Amino acid sequence: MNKKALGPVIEKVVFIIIILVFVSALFIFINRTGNSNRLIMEKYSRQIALLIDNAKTGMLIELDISELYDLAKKHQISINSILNIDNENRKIKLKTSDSNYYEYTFFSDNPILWNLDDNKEKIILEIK
Amino acid sequence: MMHFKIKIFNKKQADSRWLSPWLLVILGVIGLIIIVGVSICFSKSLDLRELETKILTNKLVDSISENGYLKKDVLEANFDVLEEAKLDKKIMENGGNFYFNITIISEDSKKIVKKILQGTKGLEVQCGLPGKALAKCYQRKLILVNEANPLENLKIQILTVIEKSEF
Repeated sequence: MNKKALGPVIEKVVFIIIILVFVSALFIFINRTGNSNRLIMEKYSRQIALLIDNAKTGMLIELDISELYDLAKKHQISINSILNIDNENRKIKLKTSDSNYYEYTFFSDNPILWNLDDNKEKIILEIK
Repeated sequence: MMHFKIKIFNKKQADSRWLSPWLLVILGVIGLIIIVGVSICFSKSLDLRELETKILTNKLVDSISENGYLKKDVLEANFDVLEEAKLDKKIMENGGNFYFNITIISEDSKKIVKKILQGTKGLEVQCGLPGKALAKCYQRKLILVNEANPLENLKIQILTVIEKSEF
């Protein structure tokens, strides 16, 4: 191939590589930010608290928490050490480590019984 | 003369370079804008207090009314609204983040029949004031028939205020 013709081709290839790297880096950044531990914990603690507050006595609620199961796998800890519903202090507590935790208060007085369905990756809330 | 002008124009060629320092500068600026925008967007917490005030109001309405009637025991002195609405006493009384006010007014005499207040009263002042960090308020009005005296209509005004630092 002619050396003079090779120059613009390399230039175009480098240009395309730079654009691809740039777009990929942005995609990875946005994806990581959107799936951060804090965001997942915040989302589920609030969702569970709102469900409890809005529920009536005798209700049975199932909620998909597969993202929390993924979080447990990622940190190599059991799901029970991530999620806790504190009936005494009326709090939903989520933590991946002692320094990384999130809790949200609910105001309903109904005692909450909760179980985890590991197969379906769901939490089952029983409003007493 | 005309021939000379054309010659000059032909000498100016369009720059067709694909790579230039400007490309990196533009990409850098675009990247920075996206990173800052996404970081700001995701760092903000969801504020659910408005939704919670509505849930709290619905619980209060359910605790005092039944099928359009005001329950008989509501007007009694020993009526415990927290117990009836299944609201946690510790959080409502000592938490400092909640306040609600139920005013029952007779439609006939226009007099206040009963007022039920609970929580931190100071929060009521924040209603109507601008500012995201301030407490969220929700007011609901409804008319109920007095179960003890079906000929009497009662106007119920419920104001709920929630201020949580964890929003």
